[in-house]
Amino acid sequence: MIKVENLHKKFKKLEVLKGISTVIDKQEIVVVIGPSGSGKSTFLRCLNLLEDYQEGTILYNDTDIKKIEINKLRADIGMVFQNFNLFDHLKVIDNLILAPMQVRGLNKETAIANAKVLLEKVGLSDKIDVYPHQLSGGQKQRVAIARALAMEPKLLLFDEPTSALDPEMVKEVLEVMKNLANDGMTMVVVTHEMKFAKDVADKVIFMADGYIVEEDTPENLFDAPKHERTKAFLNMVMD
Amino acid sequence: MNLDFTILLPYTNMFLKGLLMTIFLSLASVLIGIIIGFLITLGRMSKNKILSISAKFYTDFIRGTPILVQVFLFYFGLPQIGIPIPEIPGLPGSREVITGIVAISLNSSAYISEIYRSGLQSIDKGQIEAARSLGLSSSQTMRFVTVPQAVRRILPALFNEFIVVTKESSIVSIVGLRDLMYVSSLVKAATYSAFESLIVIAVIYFALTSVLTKILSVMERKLSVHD
Ligand SMILES: Nc1ncnc2c1ncn2[C@@H]1O[C@H](COP(=O)(O)OP(=O)(O)OP(=O)(O)O)[C@@H](O)[C@H]1O
Ligand SMILES: [Mg+2]
Repeated sequence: MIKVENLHKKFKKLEVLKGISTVIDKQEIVVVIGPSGSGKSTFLRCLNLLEDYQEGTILYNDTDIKKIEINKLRADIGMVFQNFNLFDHLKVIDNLILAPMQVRGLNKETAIANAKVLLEKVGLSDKIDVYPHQLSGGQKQRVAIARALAMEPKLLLFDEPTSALDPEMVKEVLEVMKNLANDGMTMVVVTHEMKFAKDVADKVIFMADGYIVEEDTPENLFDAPKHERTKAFLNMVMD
Repeated sequence: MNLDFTILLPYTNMFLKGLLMTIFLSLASVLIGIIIGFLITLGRMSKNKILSISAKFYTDFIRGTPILVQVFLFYFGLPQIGIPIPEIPGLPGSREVITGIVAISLNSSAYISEIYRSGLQSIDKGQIEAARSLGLSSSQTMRFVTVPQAVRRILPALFNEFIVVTKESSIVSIVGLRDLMYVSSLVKAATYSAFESLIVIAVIYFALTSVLTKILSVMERKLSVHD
């Protein structure tokens, strides 16, 4: 579904991605791990062109993403952010129907009907008419996931979706993500939740210093890492 | 010192007229400033370098020069470069009123443009990214995400600008515009009592801004419901 070839990204002089190549298959769950500043977010943001890149290509269903109309591409590739980024001035339901109506041209009734199904799915049917500031962090993130799903994306990107949450709320969000994975969604997840990676990922990518150091199944990568850099990182995060 | 306010009683009507003029002048100037300020903000955000630089120079110049200088520039300068300010027939003093509105509204437009700009910039970048990541175009993002939230911050600031202008507009009495400030000097000349009439207009200005400030705080409370 996605093929990344030799991706280079610079911020001014600072080279942040130094030649990334990987493949994301349909229905695959890819988890990206790595130390802070290694370029995980930047990599993710290149996939929906929230960041531009200087070298290399990203193919989406065999088409260069730079040749696709940008808003069409983004309608197909959803993103969930660390800080939720809900639209503060809109009720939950209006957060969910805005893009489907404006971008996909759905009429209001259809958009609302779809949104209700999604809210049910993330367990927030009773929050349909409240504003984001009335929700807990975990609830906000579940709404943000539902908002992304409302566009019926083919691929969902998650950038540390649980990092801003209190520990007791992490579980409810991971639960929703697991269900999505089971439903066959294609997902790329940047996270520090190693247990989630072990349980759900089909493939784990370890990034450091703008490179993909190692990518493998979670069994291989966690239990038998090949590179010293990976071992050191895992030792640190697994205690 | 003996204060005798009763000598002002015959001039009650003049004070009232002055107050109405002050309110009219401020309201008209801010309303025009809201429109000009909007155009300046568009200019500043424009990709056209000449437009954005001129718009920035305009706001910097207005904010960096005394309003009194600006008033004189319009009152004496415009006729000299061949742009006479007309007197509307049958409305004595309208030349001064027009000068006053032009000067104050241009002055205010620079401050209002800053209000718009900081209102737009105060919107969390994350929400804008979220909107773009859903496939909304930049103009759709402006319309559905940025502007509706900026308006909540801009409206109270605009109202506050109106309060500021009700006070600062007193400067145009210098060119003979018959606002509250001007009335006090007329009354002073007629009664030979400077202090009483100044106290009266100070109280009137203070009452006016107090009422407006009260309205502002209600407005702020109403608009902040969803924050
Ligand atoms: N907009 C930007 N402008 C300049 N430099 C940036 C920008 N965004 C990121 N960087 C730099 O790029 C590098 C990689 O950042 P990135 O956010 O991709 O790392 P990360 O792996 O996601 O880290 P973290 O785990 O802390 O989120 C860092 O050195 C960061 O300072
Ligand atoms: Mg990051």
